[in-house]
Amino acid sequence: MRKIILFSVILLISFLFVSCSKKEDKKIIEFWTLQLSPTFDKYFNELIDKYEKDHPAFDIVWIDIPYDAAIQKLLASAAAGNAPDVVNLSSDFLAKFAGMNALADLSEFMPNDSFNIFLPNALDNCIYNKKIVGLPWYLNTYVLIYNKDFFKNAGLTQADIPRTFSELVDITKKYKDNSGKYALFWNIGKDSYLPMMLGSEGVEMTDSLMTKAMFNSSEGIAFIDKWVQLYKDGYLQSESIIKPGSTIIEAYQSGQVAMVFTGPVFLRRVKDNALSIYSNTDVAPAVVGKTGKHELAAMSISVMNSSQHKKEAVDFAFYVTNSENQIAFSKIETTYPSTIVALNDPFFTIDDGTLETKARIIGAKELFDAVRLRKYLEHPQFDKLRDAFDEAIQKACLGKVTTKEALDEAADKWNKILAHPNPSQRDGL
Amino acid sequence: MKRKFGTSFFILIIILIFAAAALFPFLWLLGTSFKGAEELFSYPPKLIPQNFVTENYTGVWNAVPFELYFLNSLIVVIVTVILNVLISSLAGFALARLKFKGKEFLFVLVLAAIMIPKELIIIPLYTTVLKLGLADTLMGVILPFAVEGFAIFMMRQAFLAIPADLEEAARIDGCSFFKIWWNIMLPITKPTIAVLSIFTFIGTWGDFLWPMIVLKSQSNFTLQVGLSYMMGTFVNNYRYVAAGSVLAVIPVILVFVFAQKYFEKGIMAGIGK
Amino acid sequence: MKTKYAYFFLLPTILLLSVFYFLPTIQVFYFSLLDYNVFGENEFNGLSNYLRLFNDPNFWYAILNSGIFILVTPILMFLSLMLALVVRETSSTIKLFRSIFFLPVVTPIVIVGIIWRYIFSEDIGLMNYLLSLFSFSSVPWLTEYPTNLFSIMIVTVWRGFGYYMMIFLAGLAVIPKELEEASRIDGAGRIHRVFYIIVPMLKPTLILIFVLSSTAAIKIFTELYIMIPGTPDSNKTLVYFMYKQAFENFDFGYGSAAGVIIFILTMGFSYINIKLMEER
Repeated sequence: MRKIILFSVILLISFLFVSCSKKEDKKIIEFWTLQLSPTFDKYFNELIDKYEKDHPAFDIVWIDIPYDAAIQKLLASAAAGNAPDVVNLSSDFLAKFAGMNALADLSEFMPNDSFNIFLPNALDNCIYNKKIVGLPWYLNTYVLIYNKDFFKNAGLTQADIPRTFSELVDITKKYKDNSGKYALFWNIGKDSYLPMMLGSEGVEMTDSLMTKAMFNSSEGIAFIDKWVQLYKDGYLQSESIIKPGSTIIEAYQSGQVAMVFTGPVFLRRVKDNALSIYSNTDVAPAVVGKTGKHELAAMSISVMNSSQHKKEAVDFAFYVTNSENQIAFSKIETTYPSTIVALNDPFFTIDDGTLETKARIIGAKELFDAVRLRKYLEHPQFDKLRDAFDEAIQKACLGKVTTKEALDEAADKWNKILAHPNPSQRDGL
Repeated sequence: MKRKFGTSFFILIIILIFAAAALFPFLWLLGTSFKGAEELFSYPPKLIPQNFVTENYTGVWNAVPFELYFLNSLIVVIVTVILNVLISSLAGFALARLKFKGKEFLFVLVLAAIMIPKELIIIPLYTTVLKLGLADTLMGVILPFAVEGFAIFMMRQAFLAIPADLEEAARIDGCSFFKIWWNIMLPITKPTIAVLSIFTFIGTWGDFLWPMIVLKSQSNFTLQVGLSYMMGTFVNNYRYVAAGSVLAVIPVILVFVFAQKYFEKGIMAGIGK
Repeated sequence: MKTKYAYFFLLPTILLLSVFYFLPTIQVFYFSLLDYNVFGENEFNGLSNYLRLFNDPNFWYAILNSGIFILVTPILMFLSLMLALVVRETSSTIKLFRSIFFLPVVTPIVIVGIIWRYIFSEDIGLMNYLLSLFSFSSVPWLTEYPTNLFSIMIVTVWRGFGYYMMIFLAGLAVIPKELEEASRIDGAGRIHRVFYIIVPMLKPTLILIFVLSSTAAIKIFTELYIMIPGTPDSNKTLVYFMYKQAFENFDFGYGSAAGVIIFILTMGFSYINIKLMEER
């Protein structure tokens, strides 16, 4: 008997934890961001306070979610009818969500010229099926981060810093031949970087209408084969074919490689985690191909179709992405704003001698020539396309088939997917 | 005599190898949490820091509202363990020792609960939790997992191992089932209850996904959720993460050590009365 | 003893499990019949998701790989029983070993990944280094299939032996001391004692561990996700397949269908085994 009482008491106490619903007169706009806390806590609190003062009828609720659970949390909330109004998405998520009709077409809410403030290539990143499904927010591009000391020890000088892809291949070989260590880490087999290289080199992955794969052209095969050979000859780490791109900076900061291509924002991580490597680090512009185009990585802000306050949400989205706020954002960590005015701010052109500033300036210059090189991302089944390509590279590198065979097989898969976007119609793909 | 020494020695070596393998990653974690920025990554990984620093601990403690997250986790874990142990030992007892209609069916249901892939049901589960008004509450974190299939199964097996005559004797004495359960069965299964408590503690304490999905307000965050913010593009200080992980694992180790006394041999010996 | 009171014992369980486990499960079953789009329009698909699964080579690979993982179970059961027998003494040094063996269970998974990826690294890892000392050539522990599965199995065994050791300890603690004493006085050797006295008394525990371990083996996911996310889909297991479809490809209906199959497979496997083992 006593135990039943105890049990009920426990249950009663637990109801203390049930949140009481508050009666709100204000309209609530929920704004979700991806892993920006605690770095940007102060920034967002100030940003939001200011907006709420100017728009007293609204209450902005800011929720930041870590990458690890981002997709589950978004899906769970959407399924429960509890999705945010305004959401920060990476380009992968944006492509997926756009394909699922989750996002509002912003051009329905604002006149067309309001979008002119953005860098055209950045805005392009947010257009799917002729709808503007997001506003480009903070951008990133790649620079070459290298270890001066390691270079010197391998008998290399500033003049050896690669500028083209063939120079990059040569230097990768020379470095290992001279020093016995790996020159470069680049993920070629998972979320492979090769499509970006191909894009920059001007080798088309598909035809312009995206109906047929073209990366197995003789040009494409030749280009890719150089990297497959590098791997087979032992110039790239064995795990390069299975390690994801998120581990790029790890290889560098642990001193395993002498150079990596990644965003300037990662210099901070090297500084935090490997001071000795950091003090030997220098930056240079990223390697580009014949087109001279750099890769553009963009975070964006979208409004969900499920929002009850779409017009106000769009207004808030424009507020977050305005030049003034974006410049302030970029001053906290090395990212780039997406508006033309902001990118021309002296912050991105005046050198103060520090490594971060040098990297920032290099990246900023590159951004004007940056496009989303992976055009296939626009396809709703881009993840399957990417998988097929990745697997081809892995097979070729492991020597199971020749590069041509691997790419031909992948091209077949691509053609099947490109012909039938609806998965139920494609057996086993 | 000689042969016995040989096998003992052999066993000792095996034990030591296992112990070393078990210890290594944890020691590396511990060492990393005391390392300074200059010496984080080395291959092969170095266990002992060159310079002992404590700044990682103070750093992570101040980077996030550590005490708050810790407290939230503590509340969640304690309530979950109590509920889980009570409910599953009630159910386990019934499934092991009582006869009733639908017993086999209920056992199958309990088994089914173990098999369900958690990652998938989490999506519709959130909808249910939202509709019950439990979203963004600690109770919303606790209640769905207040009882687990494997806990019931574990208790059932534990009760099955107890000889039936013990119960017969009590029944003859006129005890109600509840009294039998509370006064006789539970004390005997103390070791299993201890293990269940430890496992529930670890599982709940380390759970990240479900609290992440249910909670929105920072004031409700549990420790694992809070720590996940330490690894991102802009903030990724491995030493802080290491220190945070060590702090997070200390309560688990304490619980484990405390529960050891329930494993002494021969607990059954005194029960014969 | 037939009694109606049993239902009171089971009431909280039935309540909680129904609302929080079975209700969502039924919903997932339902999703598996749809072309499910969380953001809007759902199209009823009938069994076409299942048909697609049937035709998907990666799904069959996943079944194969999950099946291979079940091999971990007998290894784990044996190892953890042996360890439990060693650490059941009450001396303080022995108790220390209990804690040490349990550490892999509580070591954060991120750390597990970092260390074991290092150990299995083809170029600079500990395993290949040890092999080179004996003049063996390097093994591609993570990049080649099926070697990478075995590497993950090693990690799984490492993570698990402490866990199951604890369950065995609990089971052993309930064995009456007198029984063991009696057999020792009778002159029975240690091995004889183990197999003829202890193991039979551990039957419920053995069944428990078998079911838990084999289920966990079929459903293995986290270790693969941490160690080898970049390998092709044909190297992955069932839950990874399900996760990828649902949360990376956003194909939630298809992922749900995979989940349903996983549920049926694990349920069938466990139930059959329990029935078999409880008969003997």
